[in-house]
Amino acid sequence: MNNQSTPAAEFVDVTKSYGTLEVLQNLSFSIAPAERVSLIGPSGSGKTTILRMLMTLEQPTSGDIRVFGKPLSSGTGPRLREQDVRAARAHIGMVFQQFNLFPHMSAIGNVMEAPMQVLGMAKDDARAMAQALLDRVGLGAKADSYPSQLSGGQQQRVAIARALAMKPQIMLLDEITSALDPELIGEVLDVVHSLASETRMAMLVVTHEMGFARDIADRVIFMEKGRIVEEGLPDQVFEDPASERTRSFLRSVRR
Amino acid sequence: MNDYSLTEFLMRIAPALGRGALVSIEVALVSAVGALLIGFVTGLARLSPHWYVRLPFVAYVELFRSTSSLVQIFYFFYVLPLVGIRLDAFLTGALVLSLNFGAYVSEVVRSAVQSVNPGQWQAGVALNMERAQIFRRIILPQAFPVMLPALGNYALELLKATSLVSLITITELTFAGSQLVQFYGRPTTIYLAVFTIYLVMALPLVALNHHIERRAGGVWQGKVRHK
Repeated sequence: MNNQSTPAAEFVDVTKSYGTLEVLQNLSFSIAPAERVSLIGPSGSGKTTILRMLMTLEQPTSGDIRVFGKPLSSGTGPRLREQDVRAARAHIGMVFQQFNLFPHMSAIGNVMEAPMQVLGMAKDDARAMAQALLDRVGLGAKADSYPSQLSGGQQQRVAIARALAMKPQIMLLDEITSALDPELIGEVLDVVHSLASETRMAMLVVTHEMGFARDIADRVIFMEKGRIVEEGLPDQVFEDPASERTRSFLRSVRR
Repeated sequence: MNDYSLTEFLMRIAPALGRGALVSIEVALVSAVGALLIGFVTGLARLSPHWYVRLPFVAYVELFRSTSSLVQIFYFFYVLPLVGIRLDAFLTGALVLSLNFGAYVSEVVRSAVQSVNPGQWQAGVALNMERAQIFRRIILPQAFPVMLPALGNYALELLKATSLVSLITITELTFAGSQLVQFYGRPTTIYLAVFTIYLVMALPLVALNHHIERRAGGVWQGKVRHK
């Protein structure tokens, strides 16, 4: 359906400001289908804002965002219709730093919710699919547990299964290990690595885990103060960065 | 008139007080339903992103919260007929209590909805749910347990506030008591009986409130807390 030249997601001259504070400045970049991109950079560089705009949790101040060629949001053009936004958004899934599981639903209930409500899937089908997804993230036995009964790492794996249930073609991972105790980070990253090798989802990853950023990515983008400073292959950006600012950032996080 | 023994006297006044207590309960129930309906609609409307939706509801809430309930009752009782709206005393009383408590309930509803973590809404958006679905399936079920303690408290307040409608000729418990006092005298005994009946009517609500407080936070959190 989508020919090779259509990017999975595309930012065209996007600016985001809160009052006088410019979080993103004239940003243009795109992700190809099935491409894995890591966004790295200091806090406040606008990485998470990119993910949040792609998920329509924030609107650009100016510029356009497109998903598989269809408009998702437009900072300058006419206001898009809700149904068009939802059609474009259907391609995108997101996993949050704070998991954001629904506390009043069991693990499997969390995973079944959107397929039933949004896709109109029958309950039995949704349950079977949800169980398979929980098995896949290693939590098949915890299907009936409530989020408050699960560890942070388990909750985040449920959140990943929940996002997968909507079969997104672009997965946004927003600092998914930042709220976890160090000993729980590994189990979450293992799940993401196996997803990366078993699926053809595009992934846009914001992380402070530099090893993960490097291993998961086809391309690494280094940002600072709302601008892309440099981008390139992981080995190139991490081993031989072109910019002195990238170099000093990498030095500071490795220390 | 005053030479009955205490037991005899209580037996004599019991039927009138009993009828009055029933009317009090009726007023309280009808007003509670009304206040819940009005409170939910108002509380949700006040969360609207559009100021022109919020404005009339803000005006209503502040008007009813900042004026005397007694004056509200008199005003509706005497002014509504002048503008051609004829309700009987019972409906007028229930309407005013509904509007009065609805204003407070709306604040409970609004703050409970706002207390739900914004991440919950964002998770709904990320799953491409519609606004109404997110609200109904994700936000309300989490807001509702937050509302319960305050709602239980207002239910108790409402039961007591029904005595206000005695002033517009409704023979509820308080009015029944004062009629008996006018007829028999012996106010100490009669008002002690009235007092006791209010207490007995309130007890189930008090028990319910204690139960709600123990369960505060909802079943899914209680599951862990009690382990």
